[in-house]
Amino acid sequence: MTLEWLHPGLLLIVGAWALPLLKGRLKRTAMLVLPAAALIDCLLMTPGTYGVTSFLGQELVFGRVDRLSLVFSYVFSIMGFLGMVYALHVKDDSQHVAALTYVGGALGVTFAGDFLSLYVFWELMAISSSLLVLLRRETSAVGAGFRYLLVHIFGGLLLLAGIVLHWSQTGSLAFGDMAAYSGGLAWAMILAAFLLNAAVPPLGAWLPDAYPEATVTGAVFMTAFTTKSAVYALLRGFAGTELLVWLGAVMAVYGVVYAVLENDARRLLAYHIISQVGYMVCGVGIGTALATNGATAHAFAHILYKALLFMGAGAVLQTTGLRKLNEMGGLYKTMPITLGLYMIGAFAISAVPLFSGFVSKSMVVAAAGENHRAVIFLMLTLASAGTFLHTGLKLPYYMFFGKDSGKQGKEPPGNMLVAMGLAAAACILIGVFPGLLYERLPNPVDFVPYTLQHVTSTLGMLGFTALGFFLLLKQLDPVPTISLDTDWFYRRGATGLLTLVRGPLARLEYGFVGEIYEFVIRRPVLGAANLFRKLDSFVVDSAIVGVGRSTQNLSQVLRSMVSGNAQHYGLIMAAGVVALLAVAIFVR
Amino acid sequence: MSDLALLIPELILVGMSLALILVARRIKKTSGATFATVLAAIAAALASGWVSSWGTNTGFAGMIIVDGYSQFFKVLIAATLALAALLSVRTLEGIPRGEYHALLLLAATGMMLAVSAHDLLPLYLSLELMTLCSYILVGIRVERPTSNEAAIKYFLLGSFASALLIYGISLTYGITGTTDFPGIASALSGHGPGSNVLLLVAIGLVAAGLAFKIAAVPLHAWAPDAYQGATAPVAGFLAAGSKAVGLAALGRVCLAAYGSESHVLSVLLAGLAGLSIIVGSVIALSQTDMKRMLAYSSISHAGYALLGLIAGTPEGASATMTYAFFYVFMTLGTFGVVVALGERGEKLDGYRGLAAQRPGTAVIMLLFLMSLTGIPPTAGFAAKFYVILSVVRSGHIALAVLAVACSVVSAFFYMRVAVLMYMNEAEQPAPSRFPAPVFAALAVAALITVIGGISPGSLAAWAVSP
Amino acid sequence: MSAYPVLTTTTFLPIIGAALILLFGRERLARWLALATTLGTFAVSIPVYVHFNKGSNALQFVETAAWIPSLNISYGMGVDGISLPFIFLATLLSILCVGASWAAVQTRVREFYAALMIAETAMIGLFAASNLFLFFVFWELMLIPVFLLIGVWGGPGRVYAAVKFLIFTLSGSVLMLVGIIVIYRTCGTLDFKALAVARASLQPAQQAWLFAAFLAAFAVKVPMFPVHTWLPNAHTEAPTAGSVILAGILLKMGAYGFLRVSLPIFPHGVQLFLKPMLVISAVAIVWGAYVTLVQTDVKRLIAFSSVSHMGFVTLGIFTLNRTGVEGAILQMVNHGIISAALFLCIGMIYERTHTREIKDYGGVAKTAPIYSTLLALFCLAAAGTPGLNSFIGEFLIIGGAFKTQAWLGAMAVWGVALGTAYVIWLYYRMVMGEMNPALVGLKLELNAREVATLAPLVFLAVFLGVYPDSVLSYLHAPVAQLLSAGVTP
Repeated sequence: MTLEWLHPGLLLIVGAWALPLLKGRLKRTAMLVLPAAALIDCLLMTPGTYGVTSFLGQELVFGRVDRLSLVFSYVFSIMGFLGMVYALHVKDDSQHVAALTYVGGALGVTFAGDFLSLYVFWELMAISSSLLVLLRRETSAVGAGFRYLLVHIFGGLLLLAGIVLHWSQTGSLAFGDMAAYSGGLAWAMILAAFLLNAAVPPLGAWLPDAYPEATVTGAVFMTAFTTKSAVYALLRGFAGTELLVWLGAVMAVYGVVYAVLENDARRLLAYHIISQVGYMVCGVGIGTALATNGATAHAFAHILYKALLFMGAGAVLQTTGLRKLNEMGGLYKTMPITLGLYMIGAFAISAVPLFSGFVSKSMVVAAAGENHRAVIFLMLTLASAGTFLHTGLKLPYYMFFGKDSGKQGKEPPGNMLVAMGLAAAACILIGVFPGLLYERLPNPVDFVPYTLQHVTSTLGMLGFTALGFFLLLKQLDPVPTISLDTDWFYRRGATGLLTLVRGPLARLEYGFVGEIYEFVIRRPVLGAANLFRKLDSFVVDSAIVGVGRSTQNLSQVLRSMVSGNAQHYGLIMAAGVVALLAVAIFVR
Repeated sequence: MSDLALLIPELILVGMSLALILVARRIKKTSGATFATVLAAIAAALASGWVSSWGTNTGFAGMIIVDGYSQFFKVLIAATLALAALLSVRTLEGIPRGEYHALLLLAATGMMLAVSAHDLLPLYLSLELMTLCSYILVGIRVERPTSNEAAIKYFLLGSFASALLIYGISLTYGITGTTDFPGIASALSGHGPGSNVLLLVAIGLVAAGLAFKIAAVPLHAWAPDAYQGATAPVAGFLAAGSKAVGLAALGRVCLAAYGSESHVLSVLLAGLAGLSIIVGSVIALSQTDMKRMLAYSSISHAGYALLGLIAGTPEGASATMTYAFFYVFMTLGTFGVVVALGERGEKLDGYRGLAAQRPGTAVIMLLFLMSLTGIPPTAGFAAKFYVILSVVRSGHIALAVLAVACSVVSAFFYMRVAVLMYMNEAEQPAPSRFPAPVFAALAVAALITVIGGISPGSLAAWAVSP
Repeated sequence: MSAYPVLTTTTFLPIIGAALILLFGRERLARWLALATTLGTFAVSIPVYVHFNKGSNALQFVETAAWIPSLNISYGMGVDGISLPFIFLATLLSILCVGASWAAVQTRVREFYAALMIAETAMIGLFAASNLFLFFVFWELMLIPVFLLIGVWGGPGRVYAAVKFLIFTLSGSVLMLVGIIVIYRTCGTLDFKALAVARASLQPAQQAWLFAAFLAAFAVKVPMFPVHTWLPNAHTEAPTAGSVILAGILLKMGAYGFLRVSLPIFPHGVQLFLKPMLVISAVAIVWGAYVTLVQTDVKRLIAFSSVSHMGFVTLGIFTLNRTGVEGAILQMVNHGIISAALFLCIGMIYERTHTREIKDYGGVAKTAPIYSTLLALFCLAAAGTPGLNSFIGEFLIIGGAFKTQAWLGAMAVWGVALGTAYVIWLYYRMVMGEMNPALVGLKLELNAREVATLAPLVFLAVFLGVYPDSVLSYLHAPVAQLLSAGVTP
């Protein structure tokens, strides 16, 4: 570590351990000062390479500072700050430590210039984030957190294997554009590991599985870092990989489709993360200057508004203890501020003009159109329509309006509102002055979001979606549980899309991917393990111990032949002597 | 210098034994006889040192030789005698003490004569002296049927073996016309090895006769019953002394007399050794009587000791000498513990929970067991190292592997005693404190066992082959 | 260099302590004597680390004295970068063993600590020996104390475990004895340094046999598949201190043997056996991990994990490239630390719950936060989490394996995956989730002595994780020399 450069991640990770030692006001100050300091640290940075250490004869770069890593570091540390504000009221220190470590890990990944340090922070994120789930300390949460941890450690091992293979092949640990090794095994492993963290289906089932189980405040952190740091890694290493274009597009639709089926507010939002990350992955895949800019910008915007949305849902969960949409409703009377702030996030994610989503998402879509990918363009547009339908309309409608469930919510603690307010402000700020964001993007930007054509088309699309929503309102009532029986869809006059959902995809999601650990990993592994254990004790061991046993049996036999009878002894001797003489004569 | 001077050690022993017989009636306390015997043993040892300091001499028309070889074994025999006498104090109720010790002394005399015999006839005679005394020693507990039975069996088989030996001797005399070793050697050097079948028969018979004394398979059958029937000290005396002497005689005969037939001899000895090691260690595995188990272990140890002689070289012989030396002390030590525990020590089960009741005794026993197994840092390991080195030198690597493999088997039954001592609960009351002489004997044996392990060179240096 | 023969002192101080304990150790006194002895041993060994010259690849602090002149066998001590870490480990773990047994051992305390001290002498001596004869003497000297430790102070199945351990180990080592004697017969010396030259007189065929003979001894100790079956019994039944010594040091003796004897002295033999060695190492990794996964007994689980982890070590050794071998040695140290720590943790909670069944645990975290935190640290370390010690070792080994053959690397990674699974799963079942009703009301939290016992290992686990060069820097020179001496794949 060089002195003129301080690693913001390290600052947080080390600083985190100070929190349990502090008390009351001092602690709360520290909770805010740490991420703020990290943010300032990032803002003060100038591009360059810092924190170079030599290790195992390799060069480790802890501080690769360039435009790409900088913009991500900004949003990560901002998010860290917002998250801490949101979590200010939480008494459980270990949550704060985990959260700050998590943020620090993300920053570490962002600045890592080599695979080894990347891997270190990568694993750090995995562990600290799983703690955010585990620390909810409910049986369901512990189970989910355990699965989450396993998945990410397996992903980490995939990454590790890729790294080591790459290292032993090229002799270098430097982390840069991997295009040169495209198609190789190491390349594939590393890509797969990144995709797993980016929650690309079918590797993404962990996300909706774990996020809804996280603590209210923890979920806010989790939405921001794991997937987005993966997007960063993809941008860094795999920009322009054709495969990603399609994966991204599929993701974008996939997330929306499953959001349709969701009844749990946070799980619905979780699916929308997948959808939104789809845009970014797609942008990475397209790989043009505009597209990478778009991916970056969208990541930036997404972190803020998705956090805002989760804060909103969390606030409801916190104050009413409700998770299921069908149980909510009519909360607008008691939680107007929450509603208002939430709606800002909803508009942002739905890419309503003047909100952040619009200026970022449109970049990706435009990039798709720009190099004439009609299908992709269509899928992305479709997805954004669906997004608006469910986050922008369905969720708030059933949560805050809809038929009154009689539940009396109340506004969440002040710090939560403050956090939401800041996030909302950021969304609008970016939406109104896109320049602020654009001028920090990796590539020079000549993209103008607010063209007549953009705005009108978007508004039109949103308008029709809204219209459709209120027409189909009756049919869209969420049901208590996720049941997949067919008439559930028919009663809702299912569209073609929904029949598709009801069909293979649904089974894929809930029957296979969701339980992939059970069916693909655990059962065969445990089966083999039991088999091996039996072999080990009944074959390997007894084979060796058997030698000893047989010796003892032989001994018993010989012993029983010793009669104690002098004549026999004499005979034995005589026979022996004869044998001796025979040998003597024979061998001469 | 008169020939008698060469026999001063033997004369001392004989004198002491006669004296004991004369005053036998007067001896009321065991300690007196014991003291006298030990004194005689020490005197004999010193005397043999003094005698051999004159250099190598032959006397009685070349029938007796005094050299480093004989002196080494004489010291060893003296030590055996002393330790056996010390161990005996416990087991002499209802035994004529004077006669008992006199017999011990005479047997030792026979042993000493045997190791310095330079002619087949004195060799035979001295061995007979030793054996006759040991017949009686085995059967000296007249009130015990097992003791008598053991004595009878030992006597029958022993006379069978003596017959073999004398037959072999007479054949040798018929072929070579002489019975003294150099004469035989020079006569044999005439015709080429293996040419004379009768000679081979003679060698086979002599080897068999001597193999009986060291209880090598297939001439081992007497040992278990004899040891089991005899009192522990006598058993130890036989196991140690008889074996040492048999080995000494075999070594001298093989090198000095039948050297030209070394090929046949090495095959015979290899066979004896291999069989003894296997049979001894395998059968010992399933014994429940301590002395009987030690008997079989002594059989397998006879095999190990023979490994040295296979090479038919001076190094090999000195390896065997080293083995015999260390073996004497570790086996006498083990029998010493058996004595110390009295009745309880006879059965394996008697050792249950000993470590909890008598930690010190248990540790010493563990030491001897390790030594018998051949685990460093004990004399047993050094001894095993020497003989296996010599057998590898002679090129019988398979035999070496067999030997070590069987030492694992032996580890199983030696360590079973350790398991009983340390890992089981005691069932019988703690043994009474054992008398000082026994303690002294154990101390000496343990000391040698440890020193032999830590610096084997210091003791092995004396092992000069004929 | 220091004023006194530091290696000899370090080696034999414990056995003197053992003598004192046996002579006049009342129970309380015995404990303190043992503690004093181990601490003293550690203290006198310090000059070795201070004055050690990392640059040189030769044995240092060499001490020689005539021993058996007639056979030209001498007493020789000396350490190089490969043996140094293990002397440190042995001296350290012995102290912790005393600490861990303080309350656990209440019967026949004197003999217990005496056996422990003798075992320490054997451990240190083995790694300090500079000739094969002494090596073998210490190798066998280890046998009886550990046999007693398992058999006298162990669990229910202790006798079977002890005898099994004894017979397995002995059957290996006697073949090594023959091997040693053959080497002596052919080369005329047993000194490691001299043998590096004298090995020329060993014919390739002869070398193959020799390798096999030594393999018998080393493979049992490591233990390599399929002769590993003594290990679960021994580790499981042994008292905590015994398990710590077994897992921490004894298993390393075999691997160290490969490095000290097999590779330098009979390279041709190594060449011949290279493929099989790699294969059974890989098998051991995966097999061991699988079997570990479904163990229901905590100690047995940790024990079986050693099979898998030592598979990594042998794999690294037989990749015969610098990365792999250095990784293997580092991993030996790491495993020594982690498995020792895990056994200590298990032992500490066993003293409170008196059950080793995983299903009898659960929710420990609720009452024992400190314990849970430490256990979590060690579990993560065992799982090869970056930032903790065993990550670098596994990283290097896997790297070396990939350099040799890709599928080996794949097996190794699969092994790491399973390893992570079983250790995290274990932690999940033991510490997390709902509190097991059986545990309610028990004081599970560690006391000061126990925390102090674990503290050094915590420090090492983290320190070696962030600064592995502290060990690796010792290895470069000797490993380079080892590999340059003709054993190249």
